[in-house]
Amino acid sequence: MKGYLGEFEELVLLTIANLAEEAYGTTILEMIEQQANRKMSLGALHSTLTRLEEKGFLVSYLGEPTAKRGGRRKRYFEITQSAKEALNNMKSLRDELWQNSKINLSVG
Amino acid sequence: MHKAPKLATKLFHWASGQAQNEDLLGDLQELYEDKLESKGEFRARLFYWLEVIKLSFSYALRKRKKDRSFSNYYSGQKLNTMILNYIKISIRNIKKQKLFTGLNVFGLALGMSVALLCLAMVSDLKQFDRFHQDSEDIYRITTKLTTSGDRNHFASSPPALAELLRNSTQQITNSAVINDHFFPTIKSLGEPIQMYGYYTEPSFLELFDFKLQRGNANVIDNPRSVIITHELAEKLFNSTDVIGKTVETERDGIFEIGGVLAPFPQRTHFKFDLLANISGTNRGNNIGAAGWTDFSGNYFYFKSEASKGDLETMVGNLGQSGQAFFDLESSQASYHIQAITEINPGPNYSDRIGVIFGYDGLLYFIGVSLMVLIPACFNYINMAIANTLNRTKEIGIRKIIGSPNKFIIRQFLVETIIVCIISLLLSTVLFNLIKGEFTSMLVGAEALTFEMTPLVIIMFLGFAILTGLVTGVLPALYLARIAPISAINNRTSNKKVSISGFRKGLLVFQFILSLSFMIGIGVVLRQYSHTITYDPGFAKENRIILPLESNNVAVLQNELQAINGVEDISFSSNIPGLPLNKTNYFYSDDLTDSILVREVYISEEFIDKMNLKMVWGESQLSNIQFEQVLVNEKLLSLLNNIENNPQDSLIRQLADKQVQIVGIVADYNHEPLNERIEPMVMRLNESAYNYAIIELNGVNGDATLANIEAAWNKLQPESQFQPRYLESIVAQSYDFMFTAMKIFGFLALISITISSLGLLGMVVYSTENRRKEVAIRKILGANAMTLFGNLSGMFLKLWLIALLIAIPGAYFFYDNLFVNIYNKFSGGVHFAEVFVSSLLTIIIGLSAIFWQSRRIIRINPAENLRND
Repeated sequence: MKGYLGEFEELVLLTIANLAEEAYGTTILEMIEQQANRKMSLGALHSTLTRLEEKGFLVSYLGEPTAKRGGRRKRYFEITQSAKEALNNMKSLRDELWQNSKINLSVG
Repeated sequence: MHKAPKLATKLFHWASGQAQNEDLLGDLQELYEDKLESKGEFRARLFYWLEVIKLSFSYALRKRKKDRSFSNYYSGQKLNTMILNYIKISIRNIKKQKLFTGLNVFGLALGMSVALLCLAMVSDLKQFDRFHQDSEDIYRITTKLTTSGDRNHFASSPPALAELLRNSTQQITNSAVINDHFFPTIKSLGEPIQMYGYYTEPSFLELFDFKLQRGNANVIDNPRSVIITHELAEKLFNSTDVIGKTVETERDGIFEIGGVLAPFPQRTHFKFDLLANISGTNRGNNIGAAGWTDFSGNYFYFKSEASKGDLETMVGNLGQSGQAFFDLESSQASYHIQAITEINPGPNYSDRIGVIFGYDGLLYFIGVSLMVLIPACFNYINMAIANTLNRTKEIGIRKIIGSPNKFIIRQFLVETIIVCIISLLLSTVLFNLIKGEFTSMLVGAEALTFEMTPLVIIMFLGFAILTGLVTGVLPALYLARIAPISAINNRTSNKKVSISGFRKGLLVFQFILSLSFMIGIGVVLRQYSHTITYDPGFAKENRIILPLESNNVAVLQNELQAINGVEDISFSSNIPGLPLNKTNYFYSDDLTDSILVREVYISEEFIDKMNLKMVWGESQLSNIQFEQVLVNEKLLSLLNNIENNPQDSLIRQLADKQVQIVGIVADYNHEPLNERIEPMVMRLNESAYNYAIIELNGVNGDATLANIEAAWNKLQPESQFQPRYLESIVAQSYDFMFTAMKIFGFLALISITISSLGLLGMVVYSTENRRKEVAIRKILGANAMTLFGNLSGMFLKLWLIALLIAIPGAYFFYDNLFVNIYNKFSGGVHFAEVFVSSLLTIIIGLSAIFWQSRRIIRINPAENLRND
């Protein structure tokens, strides 16, 4: 399903947007762990990345090898136009729902 | 950089297969470094391991592997297109390699032909007795008898049990008792016709779907009425409108025909010419002990909707009441139920009725067909692997483009299946040629129709595809294993010049088979000429056999005797040299048992005129006080009191008649040589003569024959004159040996062809692998002959091994076989057939090597070396 974005997928896309040029496996994983305080495996992350790529929200390319990685190349991820649209749709839906909420959602 | 756990990395590489995993490993490495700093080595290693395992099973890796295995040129989803593509490429390849395909198709077709016969036979047998209405519900009772440890299973059952079953249960909706001890000999022109009949009751025709064309079933309630088959009516009267006509039999009196059956399907185990009333004879007796223990030849068929298990229990319980009678004979009887559809193919019971093809015979046949088929399949494998060199480039290019192994495997499987289907076409032609021969040599095989129904065609196709799959899997796996780089460089992984021991063993096995079959042809040929030239003990030259019609022997004798050129005339009931079908029981006071003797009726002159030798007594018979008979030495040897007691009156009993032995004839082969000499009694009886034996003086036979014909036509104007020379009749009776020769010839042809093909495959393999060696040898100055010798060395060794096994094996096998079949034995395997068959195999082998090595030797050596 092309337009649908899961909660975790949205999180990954936004993280990639935050990391911009530096978005590859390890950085994405670490950022999610710190910011969202979520424990997850590299396998789970890469599976999500692969699915997002299949849906056309991500493109990837291989970068330069670094010594820290044992001379292996990084796979960088970039979000696509359709990902931006999907994120926007998601945000406006949320905003609308927030605004129209009949209950006061503010805490504290 | 720190070293991540090595084993885990290796595991990950293995799990990734061909998928790209560089970036994933890089990520893992980075994370490992981080963990190493924050958590220490142990935790970091544990973490690394866990991550590797999770990643190995992740969707990410699965997806990458899947992407990797399909290039843009192959889409795994479109299997139909691929199969069309496989077929297209296969057909191109087959066209390209006409020689290889031709050899393979021919070999496989030969190999499959016998298997097709086997398959068609099994499918035919499965149809047996299915044409009866509700055939699944028709059963018969079989009897298992245990006498002092000896177990025997009979197809027959006690008639008393049948009666009991009929009276005590409602579950049986229809039933019929049958007794098959009914062999009337119908008198007709010349030769009496031996018939097979069943004593049964009218319900037989209700239980089974044998339809009446004329008359009705109840006529066999009358003991003197019979129902005959359509075929018999045609044979006897040339018409089926025969109700009310009579047939005269030799022993069973005169029967009136009360009904004619319509032609019925051949696929039934019943085999009969006529049906008669069962209670009209004493054989329907079912009271007391005789009804239980004397059950030979009595069968009970019934229809019931109850389950087989229930019926078996019920019959078992009822059978208890007869056990007392079996106890007297210290045996134990138990009863079983057999569905009529399970009779063919089925177990081999004793005392069987009709045509049964047992499991063991069928297994033997399957064995023979596999023995022919398997070498043919191995040949294909051999040749396909030998032919690898021509295919490696294709495989290399396909792999580089991105074809996974399974595509290459599928390609070769499809190719093999196509070859098998082409072979099937040729094989079906062969099958149609041999099935006639096959039915003519198998007892009861006329019941097999070998009809090409859609089911049979589908089975044949399925068989060809299965053969293709089984045969193709080995070469396909072998070829798919070739690495693309070495394939494109034309460097196969297996550069061995030698051929594996298994394949050598196979070739030896094939040589042994063809040698034995070829020796077999020689042995049968020798046996045939031996039987023809063997002196059977009676004179067969210059003698004419005339079938007699009327019994006016004296008149005929007088007429013919007057003809110039006729030496003598004698009469007999049977032609000497042919089987004797009359038997009788001979009783002697000194023996408790009767002796089963062959009976032949002769005229007084017969002994003299056939040049038979007398051991004792006189050859003249008369019929004054007692019937006087002659016996042969064989019968004499079974009587033990004659020599001890010279005053013995020599009065014995034959059947229910007193006879006097007046002479003893030296043993001679009245029957064909494959029968042993049996006890024989010769009797005088004018009315029993069927043939006149006319001795000619050997001068101007044709003129004499013309004179005899004139005399015959005067005496018997309405009947045909059919003289035959005794010599040719005797020779014709051995025609069955030609069938044996044909079988051996066919099997020899098949196995010789297959083994030559196998040899060729191996020769091609080893010469192709030796291209370079041959080129270097040639440059160094070797000539064609030394190279040829070099290549044929291996073959000669294998051939010698085959000879060492085959020759003693053939001696042993044929000597035993022929001693069992023929009592006059030519001496079995001789040097000539061994020599000829060895010579033939070696000529075939050497010419295959010569052909291939000439091909390779003629190539310019520079050419061969430059290519590498």
